[in-house]
Amino acid sequence: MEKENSFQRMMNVHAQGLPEEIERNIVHHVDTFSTFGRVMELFGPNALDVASSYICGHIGCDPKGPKGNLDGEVPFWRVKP
Amino acid sequence: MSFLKLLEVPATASKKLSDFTDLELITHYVREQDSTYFTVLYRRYAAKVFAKCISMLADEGLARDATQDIFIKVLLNLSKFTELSSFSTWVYSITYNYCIDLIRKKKKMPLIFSEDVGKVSQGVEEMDELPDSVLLEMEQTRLEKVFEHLPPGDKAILMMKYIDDLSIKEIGTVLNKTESAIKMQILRAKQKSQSIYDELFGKEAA
Repeated sequence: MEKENSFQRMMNVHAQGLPEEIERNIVHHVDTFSTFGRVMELFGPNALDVASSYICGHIGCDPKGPKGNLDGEVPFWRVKP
Repeated sequence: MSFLKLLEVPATASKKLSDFTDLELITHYVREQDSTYFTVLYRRYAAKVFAKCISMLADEGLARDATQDIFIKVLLNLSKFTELSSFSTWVYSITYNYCIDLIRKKKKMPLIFSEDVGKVSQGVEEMDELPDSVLLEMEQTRLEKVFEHLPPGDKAILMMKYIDDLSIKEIGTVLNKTESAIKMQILRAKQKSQSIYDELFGKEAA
């Protein structure tokens, strides 16, 4: 086995003082990031769909806008009382 | 892209986690978002990162906070890791740069290296080369005392050379300096260490 030099001996002494609480904190952070990543993956696309449907009526809408639908059947809520 | 290549690595489900290479652990973590893989990486490098932080910062409390911040940085930048260097070199380069920045901010210390490399007119060949054995065989408690008085950049460069066993080129990449500048800096750091040692313990003690 190769003999340790003075730098490596110094490092080994310092390394022994690593507190366990850091691992707990890091794992907690990693879990939070993982959960956030999964939530974004699941709900991100849906949230974008909802936002786009708010803006232009529904997802597969005519590029001309909601007025394009008036040529066809008029929905009841658009007929004046 | 190397990151896309990472995702193509086949699953190694039958293997024990401790047998996984760093690259496999990164791949699995990125693909499955399972903290277990990152925890193994943490356990592999935390003690070394903590030890480096203590040597650089000379304060256990600061070293504790720094270790935590460094691993969060590693976690957030994991997708940016390229295979240009090993994972350990990448983590250590984050460690050294983080500590140097922290010292610079805290102490407003302009002197990061023992001398500004750009101002040195003397060639590397003209300087007396101090043998490595002088530092490598120094008593550990004395080395710690010498380290307390060294500028942070010198500490980093000596640790990269004598602990991490990095080549001049790799050290240059980590510190963003040319190879000749690094060679000069190593000589300066060694000489500075020797002069601090002589001041603290006397010439005959060496």
